[in-house]
Amino acid sequence: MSLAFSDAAMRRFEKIVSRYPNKQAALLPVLHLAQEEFGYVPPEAMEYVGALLGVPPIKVQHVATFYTMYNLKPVGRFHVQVCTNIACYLTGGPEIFAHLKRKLGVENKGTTADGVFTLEEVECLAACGNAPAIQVNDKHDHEWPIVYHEDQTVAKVDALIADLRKKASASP
Amino acid sequence: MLTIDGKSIPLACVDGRHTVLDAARAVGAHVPAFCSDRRVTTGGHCRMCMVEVDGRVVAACATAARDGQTVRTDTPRLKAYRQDLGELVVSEAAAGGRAGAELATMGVTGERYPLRRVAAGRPRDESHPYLRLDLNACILCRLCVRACDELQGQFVYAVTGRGASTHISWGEGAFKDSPCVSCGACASICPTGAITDRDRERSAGLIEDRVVQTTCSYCGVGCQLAVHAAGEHILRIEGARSPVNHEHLCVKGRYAHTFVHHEDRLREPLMRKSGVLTPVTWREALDRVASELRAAAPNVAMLSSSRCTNEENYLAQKWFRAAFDTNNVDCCARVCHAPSAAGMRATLGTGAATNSLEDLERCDVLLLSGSNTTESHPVTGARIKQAVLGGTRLIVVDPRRTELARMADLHLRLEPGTNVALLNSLAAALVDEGLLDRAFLETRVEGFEAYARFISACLPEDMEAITGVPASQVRRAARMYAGAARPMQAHGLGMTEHFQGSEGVMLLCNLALLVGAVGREGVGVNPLRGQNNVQGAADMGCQPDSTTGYQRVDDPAVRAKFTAAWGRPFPEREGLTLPQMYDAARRGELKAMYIFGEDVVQTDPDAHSVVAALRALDFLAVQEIFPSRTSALAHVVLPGASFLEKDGTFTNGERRIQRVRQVLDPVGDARPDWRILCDLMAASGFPQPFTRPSEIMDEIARVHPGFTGVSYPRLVRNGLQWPVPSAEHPGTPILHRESFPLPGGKARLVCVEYRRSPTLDARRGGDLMLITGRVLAHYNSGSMTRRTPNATLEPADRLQMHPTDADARGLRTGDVVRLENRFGEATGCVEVTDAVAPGTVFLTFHHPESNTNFVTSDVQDRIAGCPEYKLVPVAVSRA
Ligand code: SF4
Ligand code: SF4
Ligand code: FES
Ligand code: FES
Repeated sequence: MSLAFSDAAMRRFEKIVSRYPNKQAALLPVLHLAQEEFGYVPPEAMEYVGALLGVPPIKVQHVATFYTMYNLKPVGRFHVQVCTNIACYLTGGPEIFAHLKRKLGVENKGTTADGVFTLEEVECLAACGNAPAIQVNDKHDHEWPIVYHEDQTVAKVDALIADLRKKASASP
Repeated sequence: MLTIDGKSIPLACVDGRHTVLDAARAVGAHVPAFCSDRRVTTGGHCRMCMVEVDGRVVAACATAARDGQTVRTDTPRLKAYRQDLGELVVSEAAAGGRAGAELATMGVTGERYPLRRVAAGRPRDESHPYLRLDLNACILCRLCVRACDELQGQFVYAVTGRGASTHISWGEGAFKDSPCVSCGACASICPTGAITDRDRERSAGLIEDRVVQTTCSYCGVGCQLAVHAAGEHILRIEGARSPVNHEHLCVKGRYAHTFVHHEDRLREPLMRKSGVLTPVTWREALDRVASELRAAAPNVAMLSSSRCTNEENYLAQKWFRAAFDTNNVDCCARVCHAPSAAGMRATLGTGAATNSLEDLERCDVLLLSGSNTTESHPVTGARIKQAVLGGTRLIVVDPRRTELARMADLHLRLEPGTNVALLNSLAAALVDEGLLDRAFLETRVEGFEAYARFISACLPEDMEAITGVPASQVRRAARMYAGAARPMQAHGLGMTEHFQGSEGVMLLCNLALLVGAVGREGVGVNPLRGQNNVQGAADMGCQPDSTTGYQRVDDPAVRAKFTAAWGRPFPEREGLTLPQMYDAARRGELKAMYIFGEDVVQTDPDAHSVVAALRALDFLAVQEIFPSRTSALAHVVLPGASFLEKDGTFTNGERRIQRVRQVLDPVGDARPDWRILCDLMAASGFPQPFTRPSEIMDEIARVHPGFTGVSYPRLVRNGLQWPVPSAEHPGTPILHRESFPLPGGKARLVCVEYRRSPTLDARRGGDLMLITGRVLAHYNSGSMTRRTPNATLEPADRLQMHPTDADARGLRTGDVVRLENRFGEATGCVEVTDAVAPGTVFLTFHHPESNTNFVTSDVQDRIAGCPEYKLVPVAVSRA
């Protein structure tokens, strides 16, 4: 499969690159652009981005697999990311994650059949002071694409999921 | 003052460039350090090297050694920390190698933490002929990543994932399909055995009994090898510490050594009896050679070997000159860098690289002409890549889009055969735009006025139609080269193996002279010598017009000197060059030939005519390590020794004389070549007193003015760069600092007009222009590399062809094709690629089946007689 940016994306690409002293330095924002453009970042996208920026594809993989905000597989509308790193581990993160797996009927990184939720266990979200923390990305919400939910409990996440379901049926 | 465990430390370690780890090692304190290696930058990943500096726990490898520090490496607290860290390591990975051994001696048991072994299930791979990967042993020290990035510049590995799922990755698919170029740096540096290689696997269980430092014989870079051996086995080869290769090696130097014990090796002398080469005793073979040559003298010729040592080359020419009264001595420099020597001698006064490999790190612009360095001189190629990654600007002149051309700031992709037109236009742009070093031209160069008038007719705009390179690009290149503080040049056989080879090299010198880029650091004109000792063979006098030290045979003083030194009259007449030898043989004038370590039938151009010449001889003797197409025509074949089986010296492309040290005994009845030559000289009535190669070097030092200060004891560490005029002289990394060895001490600008190669007149409609050359995995005739697993990496000669030419012929990658022209026929295996331009094809000559040199042409460099390997029209069709 060969991927390529649309003309509009190409214009944005050039603008991004122009802000950096060299092309290689633009790797992170260009990967975000690729994710927006292709929905996620498959190996072909890494190769494409590498070729555009003069970065060996393996080094694109290095970066893309490190940051949890790049999705290596297609994700649902809401990307629910549950932290189980140390602070969250000690305050109930793993229980919340286990509960969500049962509730949504998916494994880690799985997507519900209706395509509404993708669940993922992630490393520290940098919200340790209010652990346990959950991050929810909404593909369709361009105003608030990323929302943090802190001091979570099993009851609170049940309410959260219900809310998101409502949002999904109101504006699919 | 800095103290470590109560011991004070030598001041040399506190100079800001050393770490606490270096300092600890200097006093002999043992600090485990898994992720640090002097070849690469600091990682600070493993934390094993923790020490206390003024009571604070820090990573020794990542902390600078400073005056006043009090360091402890062995407190109970440190021991406990390290122990715990070790337990964590083994809970994840089944580390072997030096890290595994260290953990075992620390008493790490793996019982403290539940075995997580997240590592189990990480990739394993055995698809590659040399490298083996099992990342279940990996402790994520990332040395492999740094080695591949910082030594080879290949970017094969990256750290993938995050947290517990972090692992080393080479991307999708089998390792053999990764961009790896098999340099082996990662296997050499990995502390755990997660990445290892065939040699380490093969030699497991054998106990090393010696490490011998010697010089690689696979190209003119002259890398220093540390050969680890046990009895008659080579366990593995590592790069040695040396200014030439800084412990780095390529796939040939590191891995291609198993040919030594290959069953095909010549193990006994052979003599033709009733038409068949039959084993005979050394005595019989030596006597036959001596008597045949004596009978035919002076109509005899010696082709000496650029793959053999200085001492052997010296003996070869001494033998023929003194015993057979002929200057008919040549070597394969004739077919590679003789034009560099001729061109540079005419302009700068010395036919050798003006600068050193180290200057590649000092220059700020590199003009690289006609060299696919990353394949033909891989360790220098890797060095250039690092320089370019570090900001050195690169201009590549090459009809092919080589790996370095892809990295270059400017790639001047000229039509093959138009070097002279292009270089003239570059020079014309310099003069036109006044980009000159006037002071240098004034004081150190002759002939600028006339040159300026001549060159004004060669503007880039005038030459564009010939070279195919847009004038604007040429002008940009001229500005970049002239604008540099330290503009350096290097060139390869793409410059020399042409109709105007020598003249092309003169033009490179012109460029350097115009901008004053000779005689100081980080500049110069530097031929990348092809074979390991082609510099040395020429230095030793294996050419028909001059003897040892480029002392000309037509100079009566030189003849008197050598007559006195050798005790024999020195022949007066200039001898024949290699192509002239063939002509004379075909005419019946040359009667006998001695070919030493060269398969001319496979490697010289227009092979059919070479065979005809050799067949016309009354007598042919060949000294070789493997049977070859040339030895098949011989009357006597003498089994010589490979570089691993003898002592001597090689001189690399930066004029560095380096030791070759014997690691193994010669196979079977084979003998070191210098010994064979001494025996032959004795049999020819010209006995020599030498019992070891160092004595031969002592004689060379007496007759070669540039070698006066050379002796084996002085070569122990890093060798010496000639000229070495006295026993105290440190050698000469940079030539021409003050003056040029030419009349008046000045260099000369040379006016050369572009001439079309006659080869182009033979071009028929539909013909493609063939360029020949080498690939990474093989060396020349391939006699050695084909007999190692390198053959798996590159099993056949590849014919690179542009997609448009391939489409026009309905060809695809993998198709076998026939190449044909008036000289003969060859075959190749198509690789469709845009590395070659439409209308040109590229073919290697490593495999005898391909007969590449059956189609190369009879056109020669007008001055040095070097064949035009880089340009001949061929018709290509499906086989
Ligand atoms: S493979 Fe070896 S060198 Fe690479 S990170 Fe793992 S242990 Fe270190
Ligand atoms: S062998 Fe060399 S090129 Fe290949 S992966 Fe290892 S370091 Fe990189
Ligand atoms: S550990 Fe969960 S946010 Fe830091
Ligand atoms: S050796 Fe110092 S951190 Fe690994």
